[in-house]
Amino acid sequence: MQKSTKNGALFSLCPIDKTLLVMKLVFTLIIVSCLSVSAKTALSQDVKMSVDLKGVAISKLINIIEKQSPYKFIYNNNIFPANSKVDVSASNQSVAEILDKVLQNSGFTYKLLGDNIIVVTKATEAVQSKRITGMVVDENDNPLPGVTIRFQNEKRISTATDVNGHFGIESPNENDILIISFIGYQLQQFPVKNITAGLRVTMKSAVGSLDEVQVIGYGTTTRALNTGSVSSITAKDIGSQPVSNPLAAMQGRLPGVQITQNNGLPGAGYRVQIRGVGSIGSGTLPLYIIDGVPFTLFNGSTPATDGLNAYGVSGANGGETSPLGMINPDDIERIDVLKDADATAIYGSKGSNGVVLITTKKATGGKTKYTINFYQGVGKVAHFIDELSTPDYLALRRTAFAASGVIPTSINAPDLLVWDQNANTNWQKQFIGGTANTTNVDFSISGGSPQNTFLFTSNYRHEGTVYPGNFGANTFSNRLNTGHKSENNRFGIDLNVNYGYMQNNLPSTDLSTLYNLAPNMPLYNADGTLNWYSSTSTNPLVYILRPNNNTTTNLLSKMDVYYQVAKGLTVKANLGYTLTGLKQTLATPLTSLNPASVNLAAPSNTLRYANNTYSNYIVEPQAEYRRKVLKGDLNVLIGGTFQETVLDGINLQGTGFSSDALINSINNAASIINFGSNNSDYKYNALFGRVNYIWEDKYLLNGTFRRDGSSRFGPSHRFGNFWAVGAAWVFTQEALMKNISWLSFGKLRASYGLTGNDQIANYQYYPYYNAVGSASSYQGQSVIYPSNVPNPDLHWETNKKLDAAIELGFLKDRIYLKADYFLNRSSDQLLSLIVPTQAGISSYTANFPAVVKNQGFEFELSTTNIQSKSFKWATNVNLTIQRNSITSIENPSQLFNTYIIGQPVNGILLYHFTGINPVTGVPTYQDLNGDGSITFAADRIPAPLGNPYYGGITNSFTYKGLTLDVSFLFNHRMGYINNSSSYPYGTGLTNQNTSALERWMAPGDNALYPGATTVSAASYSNYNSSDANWGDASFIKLKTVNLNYMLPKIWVQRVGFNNVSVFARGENLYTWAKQKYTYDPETAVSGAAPGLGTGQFIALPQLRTMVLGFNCTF
Amino acid sequence: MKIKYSLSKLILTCFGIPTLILSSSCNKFVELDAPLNKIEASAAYSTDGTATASVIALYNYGIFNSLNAMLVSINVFGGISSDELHYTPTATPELTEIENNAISIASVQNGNLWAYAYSELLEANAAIDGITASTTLTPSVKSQLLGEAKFFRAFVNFYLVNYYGGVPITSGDPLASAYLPRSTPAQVYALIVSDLKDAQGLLPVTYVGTLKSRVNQYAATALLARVYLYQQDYVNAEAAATTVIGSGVYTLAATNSVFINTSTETILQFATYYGYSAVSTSYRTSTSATNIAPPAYVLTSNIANSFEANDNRKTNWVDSTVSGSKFYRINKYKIYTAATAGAGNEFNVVLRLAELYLIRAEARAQQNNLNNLTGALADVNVIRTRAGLANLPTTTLVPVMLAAIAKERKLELFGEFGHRWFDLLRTGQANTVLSVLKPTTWDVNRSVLFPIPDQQRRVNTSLTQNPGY
Repeated sequence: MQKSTKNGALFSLCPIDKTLLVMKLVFTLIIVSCLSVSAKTALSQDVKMSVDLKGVAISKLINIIEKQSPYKFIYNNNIFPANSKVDVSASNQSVAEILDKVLQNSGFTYKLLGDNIIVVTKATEAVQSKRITGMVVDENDNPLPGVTIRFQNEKRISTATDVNGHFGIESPNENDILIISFIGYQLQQFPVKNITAGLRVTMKSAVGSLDEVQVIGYGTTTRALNTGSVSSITAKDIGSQPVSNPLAAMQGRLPGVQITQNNGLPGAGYRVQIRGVGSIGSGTLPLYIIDGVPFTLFNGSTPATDGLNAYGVSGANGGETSPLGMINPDDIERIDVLKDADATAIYGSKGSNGVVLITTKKATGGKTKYTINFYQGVGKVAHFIDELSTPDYLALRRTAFAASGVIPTSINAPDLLVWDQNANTNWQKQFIGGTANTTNVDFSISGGSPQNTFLFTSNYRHEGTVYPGNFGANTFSNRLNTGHKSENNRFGIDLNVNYGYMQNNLPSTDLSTLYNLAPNMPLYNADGTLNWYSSTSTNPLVYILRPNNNTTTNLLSKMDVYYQVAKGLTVKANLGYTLTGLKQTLATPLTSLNPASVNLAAPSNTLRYANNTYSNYIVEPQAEYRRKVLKGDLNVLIGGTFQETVLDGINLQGTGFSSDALINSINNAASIINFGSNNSDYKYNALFGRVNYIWEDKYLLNGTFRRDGSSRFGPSHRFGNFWAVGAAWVFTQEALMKNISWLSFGKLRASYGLTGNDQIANYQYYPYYNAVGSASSYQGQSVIYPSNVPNPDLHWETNKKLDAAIELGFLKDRIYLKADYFLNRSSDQLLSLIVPTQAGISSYTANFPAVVKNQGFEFELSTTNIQSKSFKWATNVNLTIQRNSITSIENPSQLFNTYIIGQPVNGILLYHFTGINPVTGVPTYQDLNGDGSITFAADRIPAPLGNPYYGGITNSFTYKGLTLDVSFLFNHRMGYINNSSSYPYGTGLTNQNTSALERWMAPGDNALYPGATTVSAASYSNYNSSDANWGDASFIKLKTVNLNYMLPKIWVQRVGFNNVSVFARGENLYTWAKQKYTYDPETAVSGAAPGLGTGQFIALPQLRTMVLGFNCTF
Repeated sequence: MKIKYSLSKLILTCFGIPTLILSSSCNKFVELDAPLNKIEASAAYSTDGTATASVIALYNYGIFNSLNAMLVSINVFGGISSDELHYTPTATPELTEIENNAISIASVQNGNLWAYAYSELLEANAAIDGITASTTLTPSVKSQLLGEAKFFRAFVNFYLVNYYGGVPITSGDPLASAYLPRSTPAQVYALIVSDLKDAQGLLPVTYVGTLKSRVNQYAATALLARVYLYQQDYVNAEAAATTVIGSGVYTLAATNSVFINTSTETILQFATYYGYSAVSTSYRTSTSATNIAPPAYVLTSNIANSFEANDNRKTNWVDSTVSGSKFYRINKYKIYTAATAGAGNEFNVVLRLAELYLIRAEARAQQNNLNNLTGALADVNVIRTRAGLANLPTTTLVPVMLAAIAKERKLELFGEFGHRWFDLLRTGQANTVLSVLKPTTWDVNRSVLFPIPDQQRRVNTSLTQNPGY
C-alpha cells in the first residue's frame, strides 16, 4: 500500500500524462474495434510459457510475452518509469499468472480485452471507488449552492452543490484529491483518503488571495494566472465607504488610476485617468463596461466627457453628471481596471485609455436570503478659506483707492461709503456652512435552485447639500438578476436589468464660489426685501431662487446566453441595451431678477429646458473552446461586436411666463427658442479573439487580437488591427523553487501590444452642413452652414503599450507585492490642427505626427501584519510614480496650445516671478526675450514638475466581530498654491483670502504678494500665472474610516437573523494640504485638462461625511 | 499531430469565416447616414429650401455664429482707431491698443476680425459655388440667392481691403484657400466691383422677405456707389448713388426713427432674432435712459462737441450720462436687450439713404465743376435739413465743400461700420487729424492698416506683413 501511494503520488504530479494515456487508449480502442481485428485463436488463454529474467524493464518483458504468445499488448511506453525493473521467474505458467505476479507491486494492472489484447494501465484505476458526501457553507454559515466539486486527477467526475449546499460524489481513487471551488472563494483541497463521512467545508472569500477571480475582457482569470496588468477592488472595499458613485470608492485604491470628482455636489462628474494622458487632443476617457455592456457615453463632445451633458443647461454641480452615479455601489461585486496592452487590446480602438470593468452582484441561488443595509449620516464642508475680516477688507480697499488716486464714490465703492462698516458676514458659513443629510437603504432578496436563481435589489438614497434651502438628490433604483441553467449545465441564460432614477435639485450656481463677496455687503434692505445696490447688481440670494432640476434615468439591461455545443466548446452571446436620459431645467423667475430689469408687461422670466437621451445596444456573439493540449490548458475565444450609440437631445429656452408659478411648464412660455438639437450616431463593429495557453500553471501565454471599425473615420480608414501578446512565468512552480519556503509565489510577466483611441467628434471625415436652432433663424427661416473641413484620412490614434511586472508572495502570501513598469507611447495623435483662418474655419481634425510617452512604476503591496486567532491586521499600500512627456512633435506651430518636447502634454507655462518691486508694490517678471515687455508668447517658462507620485494606504484591523478600516490617499505634486486671490487686491467689491495681509504695503517692503490698487494691469493679472503662485501642492487625505461590529452569531440567530452588523463610517475626514487657500486640493472642472484634480478651481469640496448604519441578513 | 492540425483548422475556421464576413459586409455596419441635424454638403444646394437656408445664414449667423462678432468688430474697431469712439473699461487691453493705434501683431481681437471675415467669405464662396453648380433650383430663386451671396462676398472683402489692404482672395474650398498669398488691393477691389455688378444683374429691385432685410438690387448698387467713391471713381459713384436716391423707394426718416426696422431710409438691414442690434451691448449697458454704468464704447467728446446747436442728431442719437465722469452714449439704437423673439424693433442697419446723399455730394464735389458743387451742396443740405439745421451757404471752393461733407459724414455716420476711420484713411486725413487729437499715442510713421495677424503669418508663411509692424 505504501508503495502504491508513492507511485500514485509520482503520477499525480503529471496529470497531463495520464489523461493523454487514457486518450490514446480510447483512440486505439476505437480504431481496433473499427478494424475488427481478430488475431489468432480462441485458445490463447491456454497458452503457457516460461520466462526467467532478472532486473528487466517491464516493457522488455511485454515484448517477450508478445513474441511467445498470441497476445497483443496496448500500453504507453512512457508510463513505466525508466528505473522500474522487475524480476520474473515462471515456468509453464499462463500469461495471466505471469502478469499478476509481475505487476503485483508495480502500481500497474492489466485487463484482458477481447481474447488476446491486454491493456496495461495504472493500478490506481482499479481501486475501489468511495462515496464522499458533504456540505459547503460560506463564512456566515449560509449554504452555498452551485459550488463545483471535482478531483484533481480524475477530471471526468464532477458535481455541484444543491440548494442546501449538499453534494455527493463517487471518488474512484483513494489517492486523488478533492477540489472544491467557487468563483469568488478560495479553492480548497482535501486528500480523498483523509475524508471521512460528512465533510463540512467553509468557503473563504478569495478576495486578496491569488485565487481571486479577476474579470478581464470577455472572460475571467485568477490573479495567479493573469498575464496582464489588472488592479481591482471588490464589494468589501466598496461597501465600507459611504459613497454614491462607484468611482468614488476607487479613489486612492488602485495604482495607475487617478480619479477626482469635479465637486462635492450630488451627481457631479468625475475625471478618471489611467496611466496618464496619452492623447494631446482627443479624449482620454477610459472605457467603462458594466457586466459586458459599454457605458462610456462619450458622444464626440469637446472637451471629451463621458458625463451626461445637457449642453448649456447646468446647475451648481457643473455641466455634466456622472452616469455611473446611477449604479448603486452596493450592487457592485467588483471593479477591475485593465491597464496594459495584454488586458486592453481585446477592446481594440477603445482600449487605449484603459478599461474599467464593473461587475454587479449575481444571483447565487440557495436558500432565500434577505439583506437590509441602512445608513444615515451627515456631511459638512471640512475646510474653509480664510478670508479677510471687515476691518482688514475695508483697509485694503481704502489703500487700493489711495494707491491709484481714484476717489471712492457710492458707485465704485458702496462698501466704503454706503454699507455698514461693522457688518461682518462669513459668506462661506452662510452659503456652505450647512449640514448635508444622507440616507441610504438597500434591500435585496436572493435565492433559487441550482438551475434557477434570482436576485432582487432595491436602493433608495437621499443626498442633501450644505446649502441653505431645500436642495439635494433622491435616487431610486431597482435591479433584477436572474439566471437559468439546464440540468446538464450545458445551456444557461442570465438576465440583468437595472433601472435607476435620480432627481437632483440644486441652485443654479455653486454657492461655494461666493466666498469672496465683500464681508459687509447687505443682502436685505431694512424692510426685509432683497437689496440691489445698483440697477445692474446681482444679489447672491437669487442663485437660491433659480432652481436647477436634473432628472436622470438609466436603464441597463443585459442578457447572456450560452450553450455548450460539445466538450470544451461553448457558444454564447451577450445582448445589451442601455438607455440613459438626462432632463435638465433651469428656471429664472422674476423674483430672482434685479427689479430694475423687470418689465411686468413683458416678463423676462425664463426656463432653460434640455432633454438628452443616449441609447446604446451591443450584440456580441462569441465562441470559446477549451481543451488540454500537451501539458497545457488551451483556451481559445473568438467573437464579434456590433454596437451603436445614438444621442438625441433638445435644448430649449422659454421666456415670458405669465407667472413664476407656471415657470416649470414650457407650455406657458410666451416664446420658445430652440437652441439646437444634439444628434449623433456612432457605430462600431469588431472581430476579436484570444488564445490563452497555460502550461502546468507555470508558463502562461496570452495572445489577443481585435479588428474593429468605427464610424468616426472615413471609409478607407475605418478598420484597424490591434493585438497584444502577454507572457508570464510562475517561477515558484519550478521544482527548484519549491524548496524556498519563504517565497510562496513568484511570477514574472510582460506584455506588449497595440491599442487605439477614437475619442474625437463624430462625422469629421465627411462634409456636412449643420442646422442650427431657432435662435439663429433669420426672420423665421432656418439656417444651415458648413460645419467642418472634412478629413477622409482620419484614422486611429495608436497607443503601443509595454508592461513588465513582478509579483511576489512571501510567507504563504501574507506579504504580496506586485510591481509594474509601464511604457506607453501613443502616436498618430488625433488633434485639431490649425488651419490658417483665411480658409474660413480655424481648425480641422487630423492625425498629427507627435508621440506622447507615459511611463512609470506601480506598486501594490498587501501584507497581513498580524494574524492570530482573534486579531488580524492587514495593510494595503499602492504607489504610482508616473511621468508624461511629449517625445516628438512635428511642427508644433500647427497646434493651438504650446507643446514642448520633454514636457508633459498638460504642461503649464508660467511667467518667472522676480519679486515685488519694493518701491511700487508691482510684481515683476523675467523678460526672457529681452524685448522690454512681458508677453504671453515669449516670456513664460515650463512650470517645474518636481517628482510627483500618488497612492493610498489602507489598514484593516479585525478583532473578533469588530473591524476597523482606515484609508489614506496621498498625492505629492507641484501645483498652483493660491488661486482664490485676484490681483490687484482691492480692484472691485471682492474680498481676499488672508494672503492679502502679507501684501506689499509701503515702499521698502520685501513682500511676497503685490500691493493693492484699483487699476488693473497685466503685471498684476499675470501674478496668478507666474511661478510665484506655483509650489508644493501635495496633500494627504484621511479618505475613509469604517468601523464595523458584527454581533455575535449566537445572539442574532436566536432572533432569526443570520447576521447583524452595525457600523460607523466616515469619508473625507481630514486633509493635510499644502494649498491653504482652497477648499479641497482635489476639485476639478469639466474639461480642465491641465492637472487632474489640482484644486485650483473653486467648487464645493467633497464633504466630510459621517454615517451610522446597520446591515442584516436573514 | 492530428490534434494540432484540427486545432489550427478550427482556429482558421473560427477566425477566417467571421473575418471574411466582416471585411466584406461590415463596412456597411459602420457607415452612417447624416445625423438628424446635418445635411450632406452635396445636398445643401439641391433644393430651394436648403440653398436659401444656407444663404440666409450669411445674414445673421455665419459659421459657428461668427457674423455678429464680425459686425461688432467692424463697427467699433474703426471707431476707436479714429477720433470717434473711446473704449472705457480696461478689461481688454487689446482694445486699448487699437484705440492707441498700436495694435500688437499678436492681437487676438485683430485675429478674430480676420477669422470672422473669412468664415463669412467661406460660406459666401461655398454658396456661390454650390448655387452656380446646382441644376435643380428654381431660376428666380437661384438668381436671387447667387446675387445675395455675391453681395456678401463683396461686402466682406470691402472691409478686409480697407482694414488690411490687399488680402488673400479665397474660394469655397477651405484647404485650398488656407495657404494663399495676399492679392493686391486693386485685385480685391476688382472682385468687389465685379461681384456687385453681378449682384445688380441677379437681384430684383423688390425685397424678398419682410422689412428690407434681404439684399435687393439697390443694396448692391448702394454698396457699389461707396466702392466707387473709395476708388475715387466719382462719375460712377455719383451715377450709382443717383440710381438709389432716384429710385424713389427710400426717403429720409426723422432722426428718432432712422434705426427702427420699419425706417423708410434703410436700404439694407440684417434682421436680428430678438429685435435689437448686434452693437447694442457695446454702446449701452441697458435700455434705460437713466442708466449709470458706462458702456464699453462711448462717443468721444471731440465728436460730441462738433455738433452745431440744435442738431437733432445730437438730441436723438447721443445722450450724455454721468458715472463718476461725463461720457457720451451712442443712442442710435435704443434697445439694449429683449427677452423674446421679435420683441424689439431694431435690426442692424447696413446701408441707409443718408450715406448715399453724402456719397453723391462728395462724388459731385470731387468732379469739381460748378454744376456739381451745387448738386453737392443740395445733397448735404438734404442731410442737414433732416438734422434740423440750416442750409449751408453756397461755396465755389471744392475744399470747403469737401470739408463740409466730411463733417456731415462724421456727425451722420458715427458709430456705424467704421465709416470715420475709413474716411480719414481714404482722404489722407488720418495723420493730420489724429496727430492732433491723439498727441501722445499717434505715430505719423505707423501704418494706418491693421497688421496681418502674426499667428496667421506663422501658419501661412506666404502672408506678408503690412509695413510698420
